[in-house]
Amino acid sequence: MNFLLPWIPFLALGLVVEVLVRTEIVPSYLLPATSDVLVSLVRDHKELLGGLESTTIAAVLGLLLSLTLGLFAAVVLSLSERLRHAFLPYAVFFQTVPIIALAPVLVIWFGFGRPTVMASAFIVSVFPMIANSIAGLLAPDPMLLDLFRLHKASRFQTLWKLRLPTAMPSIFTGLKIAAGLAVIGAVVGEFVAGGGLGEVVDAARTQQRLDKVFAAVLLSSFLGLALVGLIDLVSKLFLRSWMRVPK
Amino acid sequence: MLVEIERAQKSFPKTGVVVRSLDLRIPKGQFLCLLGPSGCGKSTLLRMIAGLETPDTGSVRTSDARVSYVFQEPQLLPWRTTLENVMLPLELEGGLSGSELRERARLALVSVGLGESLDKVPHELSGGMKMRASLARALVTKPDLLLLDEPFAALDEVTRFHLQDDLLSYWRGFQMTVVFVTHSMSEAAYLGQRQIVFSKRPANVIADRTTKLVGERSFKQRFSLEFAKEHASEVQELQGLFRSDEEMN
Repeated sequence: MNFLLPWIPFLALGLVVEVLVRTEIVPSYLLPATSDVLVSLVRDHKELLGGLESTTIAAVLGLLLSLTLGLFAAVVLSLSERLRHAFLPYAVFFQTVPIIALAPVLVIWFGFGRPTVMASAFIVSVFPMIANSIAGLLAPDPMLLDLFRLHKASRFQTLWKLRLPTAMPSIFTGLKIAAGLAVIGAVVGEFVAGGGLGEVVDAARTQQRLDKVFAAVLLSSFLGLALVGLIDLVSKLFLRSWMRVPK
Repeated sequence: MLVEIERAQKSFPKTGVVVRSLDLRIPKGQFLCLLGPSGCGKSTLLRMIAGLETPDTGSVRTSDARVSYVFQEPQLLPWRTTLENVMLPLELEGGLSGSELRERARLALVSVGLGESLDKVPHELSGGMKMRASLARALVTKPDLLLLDEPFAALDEVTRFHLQDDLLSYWRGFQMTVVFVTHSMSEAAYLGQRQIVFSKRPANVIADRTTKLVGERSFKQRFSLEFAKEHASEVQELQGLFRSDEEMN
């Protein structure tokens, strides 16, 4: 039952939009009728699904890049407070950079197509990955760190047997936030570099096809939701079995 | 002497001097209780003995003893089974094969009465069982020197009584030196062959005494009138030492 609740506002909004447009309270060149969006989803499904596939691949690859490079950066930064002081401000840059302004530069660097889209997805999603991972890596109880020191644990042992397992829940939190952002980054990248749902949106906009714009926007939102949901599911299963953490 | 502390002094930026010019010698095989008010610097002293803190001035020597440490809380890793938790110190120190690690950890758990709970994870254990697992983790390395920092403070009374008796039997069985930090006079009087009473911070010795309680302890004996009387008079003596310290200040 609770699973159905979020759909009620969604359907209600669709209904309201439909009524507003059909009664011409809102002109259809400003807002497409819900039914038109649905028709576009069916009629343009080939183009939309092609775009969805391309955006999915770019977003997932960008996210994987964030996961590996972000985690690596976090591990390195967790080793020393001096390193954190020196480099963390630059990690914040990734959080504050206006990706829409940087995207054209990415095209100059990586050309039109997927590499630029991936880079854009990576840039907007890497900061939460780094920040959450560092917080987790620094979270072990000081007494446990003492225990490891007392038994002459190496840095690697402390990392592998204490810091990383302790950080697992935070790493998953970071990955979940990063997943939503990676989709946004990918679509923005596609505006300038082409391909995927971003290009569908941009092209449909110039053709005054608002129904198609909204169909593509809807699909990209669902893509973000699906990625976040998938990671949430994996993290729950993983944390419950391997980490043996009670719910 | 297993532990020799000479004029050790330690201060921290926030709290100032925590341990002031302290001398202490602990012979091999002794069960020593460090007794003092909360926050007086006992734990810092214990950490210096463990080598987790170094004194600002003076020296702390432990003649290469194998040291184990039991914390106020059990501090088990939630993602490891009880057996894997107990294996941890041996894993970190290295030099043993996987099957040897398991066998040593299993034996340590059997000796603390957790032979049936090897594959349980910490959140399936009761508070007392967690502390037993924590003790097993400390004993698995066969330490010469076992340091305990108010390990039983959070346990209910009956569990605490049992664990105190068990600790005494491990001490005899493993022939190790034990330094036990507590703020409970009753606990110090019951456990310690020797009791050192600390002043308020900065910690310094206000009394260093040997217990008059004799014979083996047991759960049953604890409630015998004769023993209870002797125990009570020990506690009274310790309390007298505290009072005279307070009057002096």
